[in-house]
Amino acid sequence: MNSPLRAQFAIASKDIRLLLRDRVSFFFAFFFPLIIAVFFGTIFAQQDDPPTMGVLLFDADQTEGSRSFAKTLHGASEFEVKDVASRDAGVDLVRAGKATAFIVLPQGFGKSRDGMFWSGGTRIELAVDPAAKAQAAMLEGVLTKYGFQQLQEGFKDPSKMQEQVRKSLASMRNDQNLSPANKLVFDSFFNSLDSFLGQVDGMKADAPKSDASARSDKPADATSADSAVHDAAATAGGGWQPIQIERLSITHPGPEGPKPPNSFSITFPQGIIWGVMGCALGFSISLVTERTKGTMVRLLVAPISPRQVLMGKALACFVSTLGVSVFLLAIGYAMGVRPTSWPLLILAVLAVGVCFVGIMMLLAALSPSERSAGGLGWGVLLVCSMIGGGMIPLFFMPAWMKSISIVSPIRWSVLALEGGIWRDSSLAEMATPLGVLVGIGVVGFVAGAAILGRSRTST
Amino acid sequence: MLLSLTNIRKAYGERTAVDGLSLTLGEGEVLGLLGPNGAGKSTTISIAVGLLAADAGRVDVCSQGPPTTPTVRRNIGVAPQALALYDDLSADENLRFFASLYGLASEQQTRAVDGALDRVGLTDRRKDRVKAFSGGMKRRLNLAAALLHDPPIVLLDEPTAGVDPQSRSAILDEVRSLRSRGKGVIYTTHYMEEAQRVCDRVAIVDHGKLIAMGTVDELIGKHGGVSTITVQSGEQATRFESADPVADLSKRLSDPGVTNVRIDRPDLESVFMHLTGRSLRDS
Repeated sequence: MNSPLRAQFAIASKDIRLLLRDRVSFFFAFFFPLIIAVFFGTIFAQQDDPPTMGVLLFDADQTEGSRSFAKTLHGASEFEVKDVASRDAGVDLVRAGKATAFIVLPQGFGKSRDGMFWSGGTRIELAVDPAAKAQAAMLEGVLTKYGFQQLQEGFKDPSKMQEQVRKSLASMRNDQNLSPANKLVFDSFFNSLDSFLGQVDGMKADAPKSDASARSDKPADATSADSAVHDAAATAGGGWQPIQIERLSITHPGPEGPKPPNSFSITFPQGIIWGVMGCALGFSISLVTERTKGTMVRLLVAPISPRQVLMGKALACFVSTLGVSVFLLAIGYAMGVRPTSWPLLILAVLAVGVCFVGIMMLLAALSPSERSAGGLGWGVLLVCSMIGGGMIPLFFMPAWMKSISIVSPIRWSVLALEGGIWRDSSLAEMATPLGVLVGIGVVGFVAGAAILGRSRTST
Repeated sequence: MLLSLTNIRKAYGERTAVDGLSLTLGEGEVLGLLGPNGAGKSTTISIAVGLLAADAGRVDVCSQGPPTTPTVRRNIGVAPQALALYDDLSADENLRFFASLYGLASEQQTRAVDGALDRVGLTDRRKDRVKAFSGGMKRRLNLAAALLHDPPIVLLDEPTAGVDPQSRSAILDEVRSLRSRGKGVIYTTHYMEEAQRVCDRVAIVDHGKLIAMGTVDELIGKHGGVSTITVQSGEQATRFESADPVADLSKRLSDPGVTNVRIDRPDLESVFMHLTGRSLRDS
């Protein structure tokens, strides 16, 4: 390693060692951000999953069958059902985030139960909040369960079931869309069921013989009919469900795109930014201290250029920001933060580091003393954090606040980190925040170095 | 010739810090820069080492040109007036860091650090953090840092400011040692006694100008004036100047009632007084 490069690494190593020995700076760089991330993440996590899922219901059919199913759903333990007056009302409420899902029992629901065995089950409509992917799958399963349960309830009252079967048989025979082969299958099934139910109603201890063929309209050519029935049966019953669920699409009027899967996905990027801010401020103060305490004299008298001295300081700051980011990401991962793209997250971490190195350099150049470096630094960065998403998450902000946040490096840092963690951003979408961050870093470093160079020659 | 400053000028706005100063430094020589606070001594050192750019004039280091390049600056070791040390690092860590800036490899670093600590008498405190050091120990360590890379030129800016007598003695001894090893040392101070003790030549600076330069004896002989003899007889004290104080005092000793006599020989204080009309201490 050549001498100037060795000197830069020596400067960086010395600065990192001093940071580690300064307990207050070390705490604010590493542990204070962790406390923020975990504390606020835990608070917000309690609002992630309400105790009972809120589901809306609209019975458009208003028949005995639909009312019966609606009553079943009202008694479900998996969710809390509220009736709404119209389909539009239900969709609007889900879109606004006031309920997780909306079920519609459409017109014809009751009638379709008559043909449920051959026409693919009864149909209902389901709309689910796009953010509630897990709940959507669960809802479909629960609705299917209650569909089967209704079917099972029917079998408890044989005479009622028999009436239902005869209705279904008549409806099936009149259905023009059903193929003859399938009609044969269902005809045989319903006749057998009708006969069975009739016997069950007045059942004695000894089991009756079933003589389904006496009541059936089986054709004379039993062999060919039987094989036709067999063939049809092989295709007729596959995939049958008592409830066919049609999904309705719901889009949110609010922020487009995905939502954070959990609160820690928001608070840990914020925590990283607090940690990186702490590093930047710590190193800017240390750079000012070098000037005021006199150690900068030794650095400038040494056989390395002033640019190399500043590069050494920048390297120390950059490495520290990486250390903070990795530390917090590791803790975040343990707490359930799952980045959607590791390569983009790595790019984001690097870009955030570059940005805050530039900010560090500029703050140090503008501050004549440690006290002013601390005051100026915290003053500027706190305001940037308030408007940039370091305190209030970006997607909670009103539109006017989002528009002024573009001047804040914190906003671009949040976007970059969240892009790799939960926003599922593409590289093209990340290009702007990454570019802005690197630009701020370069401009800040160059400007800061120029100011430091001028002040050196004039003192 | 190790170091040459020719007609150096430096101003800060309307205030002139250094005004046409010229001096040279040879091998095995200690050149004192003597003057009151604000005379321009530290500014001169800063220009000589390349920390500041002079408004006019020329600096030449070891016949290699001005100290604007790392190669030329490698010839200079500086112990600045402000203690340039990291309080949260140990003495050893401080010196190793400074040695690494000069490109010393690991083994060279160890030898250099061991040697420097030994020369300033801090070997047994090498693992202690600097914030635990006394002022004198910090000054000694400050000096050690200037010597790590064994430079031919050593610039010491008020190296004994605020130190205890033991540390002062150790520092002055090391300065003499540097001279005997052929180093060229510029020693700035406003303590006349130190300049007289350790410097081969003294340059007297006031308001940025070099007002006199020579050996101590030359300066005193030329600008110090004559000795002052004080003869006390009871409550009465008589003072008179004398070019030959021993002879004149011998004559007065035979006077009746003499209780006390004192000879005040001219020194750099009187040189400064003669040249500027002000006392060095009062300036």
